[in-house]
Amino acid sequence: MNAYLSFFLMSVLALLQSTLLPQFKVFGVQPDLVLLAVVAWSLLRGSEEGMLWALIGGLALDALSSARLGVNTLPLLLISFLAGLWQRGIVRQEILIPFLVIPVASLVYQGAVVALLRLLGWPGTWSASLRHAILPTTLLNTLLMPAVYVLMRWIHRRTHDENIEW
Amino acid sequence: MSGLRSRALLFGTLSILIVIGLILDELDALGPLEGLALQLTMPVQRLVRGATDRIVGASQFLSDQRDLIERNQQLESLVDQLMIENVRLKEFQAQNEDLRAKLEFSETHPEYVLRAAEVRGQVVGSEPNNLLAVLIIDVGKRQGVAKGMPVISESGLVGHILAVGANWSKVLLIIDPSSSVAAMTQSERAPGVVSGRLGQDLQMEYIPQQDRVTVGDVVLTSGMGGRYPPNLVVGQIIESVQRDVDAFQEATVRPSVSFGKLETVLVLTGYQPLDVEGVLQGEATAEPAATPAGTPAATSPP
Repeated sequence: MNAYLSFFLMSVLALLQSTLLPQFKVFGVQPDLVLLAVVAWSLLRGSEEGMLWALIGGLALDALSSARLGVNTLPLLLISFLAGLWQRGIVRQEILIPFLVIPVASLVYQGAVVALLRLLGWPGTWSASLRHAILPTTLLNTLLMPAVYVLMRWIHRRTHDENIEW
Repeated sequence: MSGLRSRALLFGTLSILIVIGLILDELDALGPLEGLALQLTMPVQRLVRGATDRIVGASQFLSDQRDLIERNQQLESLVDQLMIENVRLKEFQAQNEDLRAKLEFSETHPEYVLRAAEVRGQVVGSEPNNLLAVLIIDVGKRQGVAKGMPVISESGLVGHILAVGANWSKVLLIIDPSSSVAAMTQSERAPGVVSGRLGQDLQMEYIPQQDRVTVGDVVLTSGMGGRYPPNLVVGQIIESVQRDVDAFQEATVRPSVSFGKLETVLVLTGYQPLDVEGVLQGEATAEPAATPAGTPAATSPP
């Protein structure tokens, strides 16, 4: 997939996460659409392209968020780097692998966001964050991952000859 | 291995760049860039939000029809009670206006003329993560909105303006853990500070032990600190905790505003929030000036 299309897709996902998804909360939370896409793409195409998606999606989320620049981007970069390490070791067509990866990725991502926020003076506590945000969001992300992965895999098959060069 | 090294190098480079960006943002050096993305996407956000509001509204109506009938009956009964109380309040209002005119109150205390200046804003977006409670509205500097201005809805206090651009603003909600509101109970005027808590009702803290806190009592803003004007409805006390070993009492407050269903808000552009830090810094650096005899001392707004 070329860089322009990646930019457009990740910007749209970030916009949907800020505008559309808050209207349809489940368990009091909304899913991390950008995270799901980044994890799926990193598993399918590796860290290089995964980190591009993480960079664009993360910056878009930071622009729409009240948090400082980098609070969403840094954890997404970390997740895409780690998820991309699996890319060569797994059978890409397996839906089970992303289903198993996303709970860990979701916990790490949200934990990193909480850590960064607290470092910048946010008064929220770890226990409240775990109980009311991290765990319910992880559950929701896990339930949605199969659908997102199937969609990403379809895009991957249509564009797998187009590799992004840094 | 070289593939892993190049990936690690890429990850490291990007991370360092983002950390530099984070430091610049912390130093408020990225203001114009921060607003640019929101300014460009505002029309799209408005469009998407408007469409989803209509879809959500339609589905909500179908599923809530039974609840609506029951609620309608309760509200009709409440309207009857409120009509009687409204007549009484109008009497008090007439007396109040008469007294104010006689004392020339409005000239000496202009901050009480609150609702004359307000701007209605449409909610077009929210915080994209589940940890912070911030709304994005479609009014900004062009409509006279400034940072720090209080934001309310018809139900009560919503929050205050956190950041503002030409045609957008970010509103920090009172349910956010970063928010704190100087408040008091309506009946006993017991003071306290209402703070947001993640995924839970508000917490009212620092209530003096000797003050009586009643479940069901309405909590209003007290105006202390100057961030919010006084007498705005914050919520209602649903639980109070008083232990003799504690220095202060605490209470749980259910907010009067349904934050999940907010579509429009009002920004009080006629109220200038007090910059307490600025005032304290000014006092610390300014030299003491001689006060002419007979000049009354300056007082801060109540």
